[in-house]
Amino acid sequence: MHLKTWITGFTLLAGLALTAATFAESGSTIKDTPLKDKPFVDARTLADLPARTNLEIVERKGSWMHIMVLGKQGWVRMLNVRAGQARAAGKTSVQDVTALATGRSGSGNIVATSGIRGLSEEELKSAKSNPDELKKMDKFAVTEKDAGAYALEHKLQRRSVSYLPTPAE
Amino acid sequence: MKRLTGIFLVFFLALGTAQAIKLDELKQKLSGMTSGESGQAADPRRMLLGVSEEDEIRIGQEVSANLLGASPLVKDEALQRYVNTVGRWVASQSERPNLPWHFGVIESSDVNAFAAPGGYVFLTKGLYMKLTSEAELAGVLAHEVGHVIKRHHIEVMRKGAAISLSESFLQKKMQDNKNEYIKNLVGNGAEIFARGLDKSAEFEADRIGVVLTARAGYDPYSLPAVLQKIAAINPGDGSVSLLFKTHPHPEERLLKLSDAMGDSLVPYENARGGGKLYKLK
Repeated sequence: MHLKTWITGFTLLAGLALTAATFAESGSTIKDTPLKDKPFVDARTLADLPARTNLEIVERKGSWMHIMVLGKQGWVRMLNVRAGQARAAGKTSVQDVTALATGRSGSGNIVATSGIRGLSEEELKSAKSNPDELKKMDKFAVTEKDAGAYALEHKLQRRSVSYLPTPAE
Repeated sequence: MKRLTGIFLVFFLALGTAQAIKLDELKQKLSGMTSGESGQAADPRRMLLGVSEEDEIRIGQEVSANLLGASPLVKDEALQRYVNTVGRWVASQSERPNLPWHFGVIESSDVNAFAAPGGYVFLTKGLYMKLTSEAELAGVLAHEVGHVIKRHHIEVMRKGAAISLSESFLQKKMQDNKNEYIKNLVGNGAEIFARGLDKSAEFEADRIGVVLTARAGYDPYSLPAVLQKIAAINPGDGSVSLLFKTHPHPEERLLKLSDAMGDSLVPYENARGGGKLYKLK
């Protein structure tokens, strides 16, 4: 019984560790921030994380980031986290694109295997006008009314939010 | 006297762009003075300040046609319609909902997005592939909508044009030269995207972006989430070299955004609405 509990616990922990290793992205805190039990301001504080604490990112939810740190799971404010701190050196962009297409990004099945084309400074400077392509854009344009209908259909509610003030330099 | 006017003009514009608020005030004072209608229009200062909405759209079309020459639209009509729908909904939350808004995904593995004057907004396929939700798409488009509504590119073009205006150009009767003036502003078209904007314009577009995203009913933290993803890309990766060259580092943008947002947008974080992000074929 006791052993079984231990084994279950161990399996769970190993599972979590594996999840973190497989899917989570590394990150670190950029300022002192509390590690919360749940993604709420009034949730229990599990620990106070100092700036530059290394962590693994599990997922984001609104202003919160679900993380694993020192074997604990919890939530921190997403803007207090820097992602990708411990990234492997020497990764190529093609590997990155492949990883994104197949991994956690969820955007699916696109792998840019051929015809990869950038958009460099030189290409922008030497670009020749393509008016036909511009005309196509008119065809795809959506009216404000149709956009509103889409919003209604997908339960997007207009909210009154003031612009943020310009911070003092 | 003409020389003096030229010098004053350059100084005036430099001062104006450094202090956008003051320029806005000036613009308000000068609004209503349209160019090409009276003898007053010969004053180059007024010409430079008087970029009408019509001019903006025309400039945007020229710049966009040029950008599309470098990278055409992704050949996926459903994708283009989808991006226009989300983009138009976001733009409808701004104070310029009636611009002829156009959105497009362009064929490039680079991670980048562009706004041209008059309501033309582009993002690359490379950036689209990094997105994981419609809210993130809305956030990216909202940042670009911010550039358009604040006429950031027009500001840069005006600054560039003022510096490069030759004495002989200034000496011409400018009311007859609107076309030449526009041509001068547009310059090498898409080159403007290789030069980039002032840092402050990028920070401003970020601040506008999160607000428009929240107004549209999406999670406002989606734009910061995209910035975090971009921040995690190795700067040596070719796909971000232009973006990193023309924008402040995403980490700097996140810090500024964090300062500006504080907790003011937390009440809007629980946004359940929105469709599914269209999957590229």
